[in-house]
Amino acid sequence: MKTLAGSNLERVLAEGHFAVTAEVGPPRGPDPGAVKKKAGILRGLADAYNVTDNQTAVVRMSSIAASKILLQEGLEPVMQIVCRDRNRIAIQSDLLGAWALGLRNVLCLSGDHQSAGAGGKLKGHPGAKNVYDIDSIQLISVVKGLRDDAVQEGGDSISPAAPFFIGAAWTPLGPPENFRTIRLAKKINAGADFIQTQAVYDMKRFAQAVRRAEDMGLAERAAILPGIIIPRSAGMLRYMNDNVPGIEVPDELIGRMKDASDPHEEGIKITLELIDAVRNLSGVRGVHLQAIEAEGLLPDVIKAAGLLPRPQVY
Amino acid sequence: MSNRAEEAKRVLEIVVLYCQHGICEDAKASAWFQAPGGEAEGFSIRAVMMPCSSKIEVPYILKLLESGVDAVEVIACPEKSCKLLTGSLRAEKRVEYIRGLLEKIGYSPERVGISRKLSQKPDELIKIARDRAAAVRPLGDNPMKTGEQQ
Amino acid sequence: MIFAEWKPIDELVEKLKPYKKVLLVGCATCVAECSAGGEKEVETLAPLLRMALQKQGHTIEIVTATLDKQCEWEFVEQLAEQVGEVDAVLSIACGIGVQALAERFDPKPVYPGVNTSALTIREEAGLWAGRCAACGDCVLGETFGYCPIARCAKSLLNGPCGGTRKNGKCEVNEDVDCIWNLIVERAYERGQIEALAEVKSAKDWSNSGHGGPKRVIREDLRQ
Repeated sequence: MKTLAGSNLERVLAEGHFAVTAEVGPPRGPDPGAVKKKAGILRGLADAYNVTDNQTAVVRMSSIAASKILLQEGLEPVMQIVCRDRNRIAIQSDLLGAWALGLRNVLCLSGDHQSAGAGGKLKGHPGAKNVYDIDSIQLISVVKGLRDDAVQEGGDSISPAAPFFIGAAWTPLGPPENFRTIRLAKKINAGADFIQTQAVYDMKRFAQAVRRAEDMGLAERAAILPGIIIPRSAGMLRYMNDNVPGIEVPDELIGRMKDASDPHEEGIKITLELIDAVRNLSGVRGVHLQAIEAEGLLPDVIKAAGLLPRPQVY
Repeated sequence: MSNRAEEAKRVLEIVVLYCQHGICEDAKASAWFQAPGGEAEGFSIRAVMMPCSSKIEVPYILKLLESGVDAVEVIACPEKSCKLLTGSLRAEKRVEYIRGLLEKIGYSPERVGISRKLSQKPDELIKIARDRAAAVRPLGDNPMKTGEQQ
Repeated sequence: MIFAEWKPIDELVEKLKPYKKVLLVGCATCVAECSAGGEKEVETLAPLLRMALQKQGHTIEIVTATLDKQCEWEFVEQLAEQVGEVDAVLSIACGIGVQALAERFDPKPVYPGVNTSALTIREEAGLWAGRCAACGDCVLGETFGYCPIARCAKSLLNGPCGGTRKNGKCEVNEDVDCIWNLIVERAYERGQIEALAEVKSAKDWSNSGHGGPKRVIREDLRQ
């Protein structure tokens, strides 16, 4: 099989399997044991595991380091890179280092602004200097340049090339909605191979967005993996609907969580319904599961969804 | 003489900046600001008429306080009655701003106030000044009274 | 205009405590337009500082002046006599003006009374909003008159991130419009959405402050 980077995720998708990715948040501290513990919980459940990069502008163990630890534990990482903290020089340098360490999947993001500070819950570093030297789409081009042309953004060459399987994010339901598919096209034109979306709950509208992407020929050029966050309470869903841009939760789902006698169970039920819905959606080639700081929920969910065992591709 | 008695004897200087439209005809005709006030009551009034309350500017009021007066009261028309439409609103915003500045430098915001009622009569005007004097009496002297004057 | 705001008063009080006579200088251009350093603000700050210092037991004499511009040597020169008579200068002009005074009147201490922070327009009475980031590589011609460098928190060049709120405001600050939402809307209005479909490559920041301290010579204007 001819592949761009040869990663497990790439091969799973190339062979036509429905891919599963899950998210792993690095610890707010230097202990590799914390990463190994999560690896232990999640081993065998997904084809690749996203390692976030100082998410919500909170300092955590670097995604490159946490990714390497995961790799050593036998899990394949998707190293997330944001544009907030590093300029193109540091980013390219980290990419070369990441490849040297055996990392092969990257997800290119612009990154939450440093005023985010975990949504106000932590102090963070709102006084830090902004970087945002390049944006996420330019970052995709940069990674593609390192892979396909063995060239740096500034024009100097690298030797040898550093092939990555390149990921990008998509927020299909954010305003301006009609432009979001055009922006998706830009990311794929710039070189994105796989797409992970912001969490979807409104299946009807998401299906419409995917259809638009299919009409533009985008779903065949890049693998779309909708994001799904396991609901834990009605409050959580309401909070996300009102405060997280791009997340739209139908009243019906909030209602179900509110009325449920066992919200934990209802949340799992809803998650399984969402996974089932996206599996049957044309243009979707996998799913990206997130259980924010509750990775322990994932094993039951992935099993109950009939997504195990994960394919072994060589 | 007891401290309290001494306190009560201090004659506070209250500057009243009043909008000409905000007072009634009686008040316009009389020198209302001269009486009763004074030593008997513990405060005196210095009244300045404005063509509109918005004529008050922040530097002007600060300089009055800097010169040692105990308090400044602005008399303006209610929002809907301002002849110049938004004049009294501007006056109110400036008074609020000054009160904020005073707090920042450790002065009581009570040293500047604004009253908004239409057609104030002479005795109502004197009451406003009396109330303002009562509000600032517990603060002690304006520190600028004892310092060197600019 | 160049936008500035007063430094906290207690900071200024601390700086001025050691002095007996200070010249407070304003500027009638940018800082006057943003109501921070014009004549009115000079005449507000002077009594305020005198009162603040008096309260702490310091009697200070503050004399005032307001120049047409503090960034022109001809105007700066007008202060020479007054500066000679004071112990220190407090300037509420932008950082350019403060440095002009500091350079011309060395060794007299010159302190800034404001924090210069942005290039803004006064949208309406009492409301100033950032418009320009002085990036040195203007893209306004490609973004339908909205600057994504100054008005996008992430200075994105290829469209909005996932942080556009439902009401079109920015995730970072809910009072601020997502500028890319506005750019896209305008592109649709003018039937030119295709212009935004092209991938814009990485920006060259070297013509801005990122390229190092600016020093520009125009030979045609040298004497």
